[in-house]
Parts: sequence; C-alpha cells; structure tokens
Amino acid sequence: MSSTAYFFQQFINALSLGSIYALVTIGLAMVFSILRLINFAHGDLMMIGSYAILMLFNAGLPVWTAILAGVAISGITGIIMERLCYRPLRGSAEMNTLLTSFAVVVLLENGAVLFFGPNTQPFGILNFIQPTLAVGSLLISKIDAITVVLTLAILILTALFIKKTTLGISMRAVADDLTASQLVGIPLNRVIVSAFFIGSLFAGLAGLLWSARAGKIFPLMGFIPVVKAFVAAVIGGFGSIPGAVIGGYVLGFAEVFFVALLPPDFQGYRDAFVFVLLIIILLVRPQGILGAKAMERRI
Amino acid sequence: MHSGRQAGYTFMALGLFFLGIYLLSAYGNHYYQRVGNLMMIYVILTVSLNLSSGIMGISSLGQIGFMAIGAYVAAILTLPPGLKERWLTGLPHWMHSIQTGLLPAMLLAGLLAAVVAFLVGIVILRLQGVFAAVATLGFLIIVKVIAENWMTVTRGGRGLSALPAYTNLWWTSTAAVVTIYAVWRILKSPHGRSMIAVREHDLAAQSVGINAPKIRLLAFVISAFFTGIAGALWANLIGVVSPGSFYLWLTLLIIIMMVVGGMGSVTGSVISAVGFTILLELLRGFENKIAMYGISYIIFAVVFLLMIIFRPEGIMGDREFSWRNVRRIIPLP
Repeated sequence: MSSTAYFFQQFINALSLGSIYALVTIGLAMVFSILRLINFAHGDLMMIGSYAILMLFNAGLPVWTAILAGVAISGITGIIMERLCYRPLRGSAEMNTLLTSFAVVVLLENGAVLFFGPNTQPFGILNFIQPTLAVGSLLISKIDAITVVLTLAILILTALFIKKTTLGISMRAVADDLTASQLVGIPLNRVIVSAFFIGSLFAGLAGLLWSARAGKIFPLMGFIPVVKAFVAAVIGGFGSIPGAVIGGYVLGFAEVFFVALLPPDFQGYRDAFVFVLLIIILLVRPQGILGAKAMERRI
Repeated sequence: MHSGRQAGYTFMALGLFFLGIYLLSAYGNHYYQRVGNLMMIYVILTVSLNLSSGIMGISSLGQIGFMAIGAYVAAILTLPPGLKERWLTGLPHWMHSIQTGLLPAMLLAGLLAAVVAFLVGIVILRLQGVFAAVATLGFLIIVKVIAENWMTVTRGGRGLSALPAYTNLWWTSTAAVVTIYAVWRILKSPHGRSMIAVREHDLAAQSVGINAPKIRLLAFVISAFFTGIAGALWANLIGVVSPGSFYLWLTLLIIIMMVVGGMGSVTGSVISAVGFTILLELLRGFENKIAMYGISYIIFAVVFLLMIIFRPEGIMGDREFSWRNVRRIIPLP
C-alpha cells in the first residue's frame, strides 16, 4: 500500500472517530452549558443504547426498528436520570453534582453487569453492510463512511435547531444568562429536560456507531468515551456547542495519528496520551480553541 | 475539662483498642482478621483523602492512583528474588537480589507516592473545582495505563502475585492510628487552619498572607504519602496487585466513605470507614446468598445518592469527637 493511501485511510479513520466524539461531546456540552454539571453517566447512555439495540434485534425486531427504539430508550433514560438524580440536587455545590454523576455511573454499570452479565458480547448487527467500499485503489470501511455522513447531517440539523427553533433559542438564552432568561419567562425545566433528551439521543446513536466500530459491547464500555468527550470539550472550549464539535474532531485526529506515528510498543499508551494532552491544554489554554466564557457559578 | 485528663482518656481508649487488636490477632479466625485489616486500610484511605479533599477542598478523583503507586512499589520490593528475575526484566540488575521487609517497603511506597504527588500537584493544583476533578481522574487513568503496559516492571495486566503476606493487624492498626494522629495534628495546627481558610475563601486567605498554592500542595503530598502506605499494606495483605484493582470502584468507595462521614471531619471518616467495611462484608454475604453479584455496589451508590440529596453534610459535618461531649452523655470520672 502506498503511503498516500495509508495516510488517506488513517484520515477517514480519524474523521469517523472524531464524529463519534463530536456526537458524545455535544450532549455533555449542552448539559454543562446550562447546569454546569459534568455528567459522567453520559457515557453509560451509549452502553444502554447499544444493549437495548442488541436485545431488541435479538428479540426479532427488524434492524432499523431496533436501532430507532434503542436510541429512543437511551433518550428516555437520560430524562429519567435528570428527574431522579440531578433535579433534586439543583443549586447544590458543583462538586456534589459531579460526585453524584460518578455514583450514577457505578449504579448503571453495575446494573448492566447484573442484567446483561459481566462478559463482552459480540455486536455485529451492522455486519450486513458491506465491510469496505473501493474508491480507486482505496479501501474505505463502510461503517466509517456512514458514521461521517450521518454525523455531518446531524450536526447541520442541530445547528439549525439551535439557531432557528424556539426551544433552541431558549437553550442558548438559558446558557447565556440564567436569571435573565427566567425573567422573560423561559420554562427552565423544559429546556433542561430537552437538553438531556437530545444529548442522550446523540449518545445512544454514538453508542451504536462506537459498538459497530469495536464489534463488541460490555457494561463498562461507556466510561472511557465520556472522559475523552470531556477532553474534547475542553479542547474546543467547555460549554460551547461548536467548540464541542471542533474538539471532537481534533481529538479524533490527535488520537489516530498518535497511534499511526508511534512504534507498536507504545500504542497501549494511547489513552495516557489523551489525558496528558488534556492536562497540558487545561494549563496552557483553559478557555479552549473557541474560548468559552469564564465558568461562573450557575443556578 | 483538664487537658491531662483528656490525654488520660485517650491513652486508655488506645490501650483498649490495642487490647482488642491483640485478642483479634491471637484468637480471631482468619476471616475476622482479614476484615479487620481491610477496615484499618479503609480508615487510612478515607482519613487521608479527607485531608486533601475535605479539609483542603481539592476535588480529587485520582487519590487511588497514589494507592496504586504505593502498592506497586511495595510489590516490587517484597517480591521473592527468583520471581523478580523472571518477571521484571526491566528493573536494574542490582534490584533483582533485593527483597525488603514490610516497613522499608511501606516507607518507600509512601515516599514515592508523595514525590509523584508533588510533581503532579505542581501542575494539576493550578486548576479548580470540576477541572481539577477531571484532571485528577486523568491522572488515575494514566497510572492504570502505565501499569497495564509497562510489562517489564509491572508485568502488565497479569499483575504481580505471590507477594509475601507480611501485613497483619499490628501493622495496619498502628499505621491507621499514626495516620489519624498525624491528620488530626495537622488539622489543629496553624497549617490546618490555613487549609480551611483557603478552602473557604482563596482570595481572603491569600490577603492575610497565606501561601495558598503551597498549602494546597502540602495537603496533597501528605495525603498521597499515607495513601501510598495504605497501598503497600493492601499489596502484602491480598498478595496480588493488578491494574484493575486500583480504579473506579475503589475511588468511589473511599469518596462515599468520606462524604457520608462528613467532609472535613476526621472522626466522621473513621466512623464511616468502619461502618461501611462492616456493611460491605454483610452485603457480600447477602450477594453470595442470592447470587446477584454487583448488587452491593448498587446499594452503595443508592445510599450515597440519598445521602447527598438529603444530608449533604454527612454524619458529622465538620464536627469532631471530643471527650467533653462524651462526658455530657456518659458520666466519666
């Protein structure tokens, strides 16, 4: 294989990984921009979505129905999570809500161990899609291509939603100035629930794409992606939604090219590299690429 | 109350405590001794986490990374030389023939954890709140990734086994008493007052001449020292160290113990660590009986959620035990 082709394949690979990070990070950033809450349990929605899709598919549902239903289940789980765990804690210290989300992670992951078993399960429900697409001399993984195109479509829709719809505008208003948005009568609970719902839908979809890429699912699969999504959010500027997208892609590229450029002995250190990157960015440019506003106390 | 009399009560209580330890190690069965050891280790972990998180207010999710460092240092030092030569080819040659006892292993474990905390702290402690929390979580993940991949020093995912079982109740209880005493003394010293001042209002504390970055680093390093010692005790109690042992579950467990006890209260940490160890063992028995593995984690997480929603200040808040209060309830001489 020529080095140009190798480079191009790594490029597609990075684009696809970056798309998944972008999807996860948007949800994290939406909730953070409104509540100043880092929801570690966001990654577990990926896990719940994937397991739901697999179970519905195994129960005999057609694959596309299973996918839609599984993503919806992930969205609903997000709403339940907000109602039961985060709403009672509104207004309490930032650290308490962070620790709460950590406890929710343990709750959901061990719940999954209990219900689905601790073992890794193969996840091949998208295997009917041709594995590769030949473009000239290039072989592109079809899952990667779908991931990139689908994510782009969703990003455009999200941008339109945030710019044009009433709910999107309310969301921006609340993120911008909570008190003033309350004064003009924006329904806070509806905005918060929508942010959780949309973010959780995206997480469910990201879970599907992530699991299809990995070919397997397991109860603890959501933790590393969500912590990496946090890194992506920091890269882009925390709380900013365009920043979340940029950060997701930057992280995808950094990670793929880190692995591609280093000798194989060091590839196991991939995750360590990501967090060293996080700490460096937090110190050098804590406001991120897009420079989100200072993090003042909210609610 | 006369302070000499208080010291007398304290020594009597300590005497009773060590009498209990003597009875347990002489007559208790293996299971109770093991639970006792774990209890003391959890006390050390919770009290030292309380120093950096509760008293000093550093939001750290990476504390268990220091425990991992301590455990690996002790494991490498106490591993029999034959195994060391076979497994740990990356160590310098002169280290292969060395096998230390528990005390040097503990001290070196604590020391190395403290040195790492110093280096990491210089960088991470410039961050505040949730950003410090995620950066310290990143530190924990980095430690785990290194333990998993540095095959010639940590033996990767297979871990180091066949460690000599040096740890006994005398070691763990003495280390716990020393930790409690040290943290208590720090809390009551000018340094401890400075820590609370910085936690409550960084700027105001600096304006009366407290060196906030320095005092934060001090709390972080001391806390890591005792956590490293707990790691060493753990390694020579369980006999195996592997990367997965020091990760999210243990992180959450000691955070739960600290928050439920009361952030900032040494007494609360001790009560809560003792109580939760017993609860954990009871739940483990229950879990085996109904064959639903993992249910105890779920119960723990729910207890924590209820606690943080309904009583966020924990059992003790930031109050401490005192003989004066005991005397109000029980008529001591």
